[in-house]
Amino acid sequence: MKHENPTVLVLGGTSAVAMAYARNAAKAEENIVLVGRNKSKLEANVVDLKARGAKSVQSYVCDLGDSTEVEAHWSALLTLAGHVDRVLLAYGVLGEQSESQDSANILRRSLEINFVSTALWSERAFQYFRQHGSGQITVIGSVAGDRGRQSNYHYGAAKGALAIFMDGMAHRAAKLKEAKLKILLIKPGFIDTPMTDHLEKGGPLWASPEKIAAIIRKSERRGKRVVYAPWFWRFILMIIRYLPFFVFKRSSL
Amino acid sequence: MPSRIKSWGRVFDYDHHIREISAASDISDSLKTCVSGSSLAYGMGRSYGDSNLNASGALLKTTRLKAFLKADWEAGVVKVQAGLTLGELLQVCVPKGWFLPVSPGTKYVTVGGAVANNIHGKNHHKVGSFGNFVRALSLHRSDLKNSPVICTPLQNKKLFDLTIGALGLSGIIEWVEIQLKPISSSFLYVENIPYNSLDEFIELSTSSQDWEYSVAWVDCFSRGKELGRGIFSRANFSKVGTLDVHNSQSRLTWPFVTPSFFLNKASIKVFNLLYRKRSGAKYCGYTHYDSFFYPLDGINNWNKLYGKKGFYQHQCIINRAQGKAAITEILKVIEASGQGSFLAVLKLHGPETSPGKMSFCMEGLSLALDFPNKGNKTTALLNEIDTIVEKYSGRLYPAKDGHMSAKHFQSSYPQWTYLEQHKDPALSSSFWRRVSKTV
Repeated sequence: MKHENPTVLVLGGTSAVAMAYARNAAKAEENIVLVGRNKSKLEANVVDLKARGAKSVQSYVCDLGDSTEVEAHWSALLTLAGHVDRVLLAYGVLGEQSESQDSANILRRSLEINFVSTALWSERAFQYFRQHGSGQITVIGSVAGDRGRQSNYHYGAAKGALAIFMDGMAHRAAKLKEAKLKILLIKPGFIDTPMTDHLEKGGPLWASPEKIAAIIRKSERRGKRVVYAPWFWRFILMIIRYLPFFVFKRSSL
Repeated sequence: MPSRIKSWGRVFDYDHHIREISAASDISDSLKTCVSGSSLAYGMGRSYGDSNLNASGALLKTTRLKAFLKADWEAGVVKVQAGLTLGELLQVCVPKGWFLPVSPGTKYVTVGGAVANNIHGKNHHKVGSFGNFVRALSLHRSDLKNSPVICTPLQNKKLFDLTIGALGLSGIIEWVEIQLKPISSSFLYVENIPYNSLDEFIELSTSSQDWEYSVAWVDCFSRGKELGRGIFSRANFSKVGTLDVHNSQSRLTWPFVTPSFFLNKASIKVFNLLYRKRSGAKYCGYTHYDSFFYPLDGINNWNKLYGKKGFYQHQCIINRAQGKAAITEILKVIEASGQGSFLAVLKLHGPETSPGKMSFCMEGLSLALDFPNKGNKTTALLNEIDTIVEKYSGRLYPAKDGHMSAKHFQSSYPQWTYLEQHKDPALSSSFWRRVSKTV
């Protein structure tokens, strides 16, 4: 079914990149559903997106990282939205690896949020789009998922697993005869957001959330499958991936 | 970690503690927990001199505060957070048939900065400064218990009037409610008219009072009878056409800091000649708002064009009666110095009608200049120009200033003592410390 004003479901509707993406959707007069945990922040974002011209904006409060509740939340969201054309999965936690190294609970929670729940949400969206004949699933991964590094392999492993998951999903989508599904994995490098405020910033490697959001939308339109954002990270990661371990181990990356 | 921050003119380069403001609630926190003496709100960093710097103090970066809090597209009234840029606002309001009531020469400034500098534009003769269109604003102050306070022309009026043009010193602005201007097209009908003397400029300006926008580019190397010659430009928004917004993505970037000899007397003379002789100098027709208002926005980091030492901007305004005499003297001094200004802009202003207590504008003639920083030679020229401005009781625009004397500031803005008394004690700037010195 074709809708004049598409509906986009934004999971992680308080993240800076998701909000930049939603602002573009608002400008295009789309219907937007924001999902996140922080009710007051979501409500402020709803006001902002409505003022910017979105056809409709709704918010839904839930803990996206809780993988046992995905099915229940999905049904509720669908009732709220009516139908969905695109899903953006933009939530996640970066965390301090020193903390998850010392606490099994923190590590479990981080893997649960960054991989397990994301996989379940994507799978649920896949099932829905397959029934409805078309749809777009976009997941924000990370360049950290390309190679395990001592400083953040807890986060990187989840993002790496997600990359394999999305790869497989794209393969499955390509084989579908009854539906046209587009699967996109975005791998951003450094983004200047509150999530990275503890790092030292500045220089050409840092991108704004607006820039990443623009790359995401462009890649969706072009039907891309895996996109580094911005593009140069592809080559940086190529080098990092191919560094032999005896060299790599000396670095403190 | 302190970071070095340069202002847009790239002459001043100071250490600052940077703090990102991610939510409105961070503002009061930052004011309370500041450990480095004083703070100053910092948006896009487009002020040229030192009014947006706070050497050794803190800069509170506001550009993440860019939410719309309310919008009435029937009436064209928007309430937006102070870190939203005018460009971002245009992206949203143009398709709905609304434009900035007053627009400066760049869209890369924040709404908060527009209020703090009470900016003006090519339509000053018709509508006054930006402050005229501010309906309300919210202000965080370190010394008020009920902070933030809402200020309007009726409520907390004194603080409202002070904040418009207070250079960010009366408190930190969280949001601003603005009345926009209706348009039916994003294109303007423009007439460019080459003229040959200052008298002709004044004649053209006077006879173009009914045009919404007017301004002139001046050739600083003209002399004698031709002194002040240039290209006069006037425009009205088109009544018909499409509401196309500017492209927010693709822009050129000036790739490196140009060697300082690049802009010299000869190269500017050649530029001026070509600029006057090009076919566009007599252009009459339709132009998009982006190229009419913001020609320099097309190039990222155009400020690097002036070399490693940066450049000084200088904008003065002189009352209507003495304007011509003063501008004549200033242009003579510049011509004689051989340090021609690359972008010299002349405008006949109407009466200033905004409530801003510290407003720069007044009825008269304003001249904006820029000079590559060549050390003492340049500061000597600036001193000479300032002496003329002072003689004719004119004043200088703080947003562009990196040079005026405390004495000149205090005599031309006698109301400065009121700002000094009523500013937020937790806020300060390099500019303010420079011009509020005892003389």
